[in-house]
Amino acid sequence: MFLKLFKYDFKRTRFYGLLILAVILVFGAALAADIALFSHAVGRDTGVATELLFIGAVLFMQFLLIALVVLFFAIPVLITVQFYKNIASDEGYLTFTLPVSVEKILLSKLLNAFIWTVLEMCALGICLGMSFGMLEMNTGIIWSILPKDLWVLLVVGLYIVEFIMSTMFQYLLNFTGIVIGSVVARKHKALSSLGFIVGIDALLNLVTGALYFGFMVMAMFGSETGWFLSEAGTLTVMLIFGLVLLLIYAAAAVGMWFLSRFLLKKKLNLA
Amino acid sequence: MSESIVSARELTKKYGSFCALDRMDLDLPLGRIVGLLGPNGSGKTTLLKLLAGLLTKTSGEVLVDGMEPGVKTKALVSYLPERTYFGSYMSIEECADYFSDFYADFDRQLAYDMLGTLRIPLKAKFRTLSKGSREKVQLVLVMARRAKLYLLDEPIGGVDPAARDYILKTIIGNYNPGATVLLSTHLISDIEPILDDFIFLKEGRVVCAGVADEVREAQGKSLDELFREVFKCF
Repeated sequence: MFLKLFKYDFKRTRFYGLLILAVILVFGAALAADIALFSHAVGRDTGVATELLFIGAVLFMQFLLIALVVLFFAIPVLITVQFYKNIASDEGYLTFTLPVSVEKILLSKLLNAFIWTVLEMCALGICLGMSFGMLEMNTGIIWSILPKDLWVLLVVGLYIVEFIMSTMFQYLLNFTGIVIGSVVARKHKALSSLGFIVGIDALLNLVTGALYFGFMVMAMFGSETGWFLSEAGTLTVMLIFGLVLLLIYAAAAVGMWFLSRFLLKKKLNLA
Repeated sequence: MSESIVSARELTKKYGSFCALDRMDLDLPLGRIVGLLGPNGSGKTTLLKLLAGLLTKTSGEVLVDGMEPGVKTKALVSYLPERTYFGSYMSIEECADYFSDFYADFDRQLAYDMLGTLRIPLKAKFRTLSKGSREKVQLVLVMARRAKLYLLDEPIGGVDPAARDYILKTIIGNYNPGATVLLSTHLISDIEPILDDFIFLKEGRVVCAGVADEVREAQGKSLDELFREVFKCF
């Protein structure tokens, strides 16, 4: 049943999602081809053609950037709007009379969001790979300047994991905002949902902001004693700060999951 | 009396301070078509939603086939809400696929046969259908399940008399004979011929219930007349 739910969630997103991905890959391929020709032409006396290729590369890069911004903005909006329709509109009558648990309904939507986040990352990776690959083939400079230390690769990997996790957290926050908004409001559920999304986000920012402020104050006092300025002091404070942030977000994620689950099970409010 | 498919004791549902169902006792036997009748705000939709698992009770007990409404009972209950719940982007065929995927008791051939009589193309998108056609398609899919309990909320509300006849024929002709149909409506005279039993609801309470034929024979009244008598406005 879970996979069937996921199948329908993915089916609803795939048309626009794959369309944007296809556009990105086309721009990525065009940019890579242009870079290949340009890097081949540089150093040779090709005159205007080189300049045109350069302009082309800049234009394709801009198109690609715009398409990537659209992708990273449009997909979350698409998934969030579909969640709203599925849960809070008349479609909810169908969703919640299916012989499946609320947990599976929520998880299938999170899985759909996760798959699209991974696809976004793949599209970005393929575009970068194609362009850098072409540059490497013609100039051989990319490989030489790439950092090959294990820890650098580890940090890059961690950033990718962090991006995926924070994106998933944002989806969970959006879903929770919609669930609360639709349960609380009798009318204007969409507006109420939006209000709760912004509200929860603001609350979290307030908490983490206050925490950051606390650490800054601690750092100022620590600087006077000289302990904070030491390498061990800086690392310790950063580690504690990072761990506390992680705990706050983990607690918020668990809280949002159980709150959504409870509200959808016990307080469902289909008009 | 035969085995009960629905059993409620002291069932209460409150929305804030408003009591939609007030300590209701109810037993629905298997194999009957039961009319849930009452004025607006009497608790008909709330009762159907509770049985469908869309709402949770405030207090009391409600059992569907001996179980609390939940994932297991949803597999046994075929519910038709007042609203159109299919996405407008879906085609009729996709709606049937959806039912087929999630309900093991869905009879696709029966649904296609019924849709064939409506002459609605399977490839047609839901958004292109008229309101009446949407309601008919939804009813066809709901009735094409071999469910134990059918919950139909105002199935003939908002459609023309010809469509009402089609809907009533669809209900009588296609429901699982061993199952119970509980349908709510204001249009008593239209559904009276198909009812085995009736329940009158008023302010969240059962004020009168019985066998339709007995009312006609013993009191010489139609259900419509009895309804007007019970719910007379002063």
